[in-house]
Amino acid sequence: MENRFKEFIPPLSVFAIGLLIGLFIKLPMNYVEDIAIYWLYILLGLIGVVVGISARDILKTAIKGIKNGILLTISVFIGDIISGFIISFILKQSLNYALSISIGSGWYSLIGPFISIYNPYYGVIGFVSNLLREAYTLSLFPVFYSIFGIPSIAMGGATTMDTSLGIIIKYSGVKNSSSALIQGLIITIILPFILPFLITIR
Amino acid sequence: MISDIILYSFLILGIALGILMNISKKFGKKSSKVLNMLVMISILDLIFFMAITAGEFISRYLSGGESLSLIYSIILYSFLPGIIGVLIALILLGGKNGK
Repeated sequence: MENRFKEFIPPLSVFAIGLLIGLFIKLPMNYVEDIAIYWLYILLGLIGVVVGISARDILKTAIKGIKNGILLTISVFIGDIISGFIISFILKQSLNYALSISIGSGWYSLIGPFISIYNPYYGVIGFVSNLLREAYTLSLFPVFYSIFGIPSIAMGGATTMDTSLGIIIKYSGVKNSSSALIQGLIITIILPFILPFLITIR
Repeated sequence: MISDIILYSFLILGIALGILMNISKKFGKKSSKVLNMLVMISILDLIFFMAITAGEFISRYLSGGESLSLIYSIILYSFLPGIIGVLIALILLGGKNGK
């Protein structure tokens, strides 16, 4: 347990420090966002090397990975919809906005601008909460994986095919890369079709 | 702005490089250690800059009149869907190791 605890400390502390810096220090955000994107490119390149080296192992577990990926995707959608209903009830917010924000699955660049067209206030909530979902997936995945195992991939939502793929492979092993990629891919394809329908629910 | 073309070009390039390294058997324990360290560094950097971006967005909208309800909303919308999703996945996948 002590070794596992040591593994959790770096991502969690880096997340906490970053969040505090963002909250209290004014930085040129254009540069910060650009640097984050460059690191994402580097990380995906390195993850590509890890995947390429383990290609044989991945192919051996591909069928199981696809099966798990589909079940994970279904779980993500069910979880998002249930959460939308719960949050709409607790905060007494319109169901259409609650569902549209919660189904965002970490895809903040789609959810924020899309909902802002209908209501800028909910657009801000959609953008920030989905950005935070992506950031906490990156920092909390090691903790969740040690408790829940493979199902913890579901917390990443749409981000598991790019941003959070690196941390998923690092902590859960390359054998789960196909599940993560399938989950991210299906959500990314389906979400733009579901959103226009959800936003019109009354 | 993220370019999906560049993003997936990096991934495909990395996969091709990894396969070539595997075929040529140039990948030993030392290279594995270096690769793991590089992955860890880039993960931590990505977390750091993503967290700064999230913090900056939160601070930008905290000064408004509806800041308290905004905080409640952001906390619930960011944490609840992920956690419920994991619990449902635990049921559908039949445990920690999946189907």
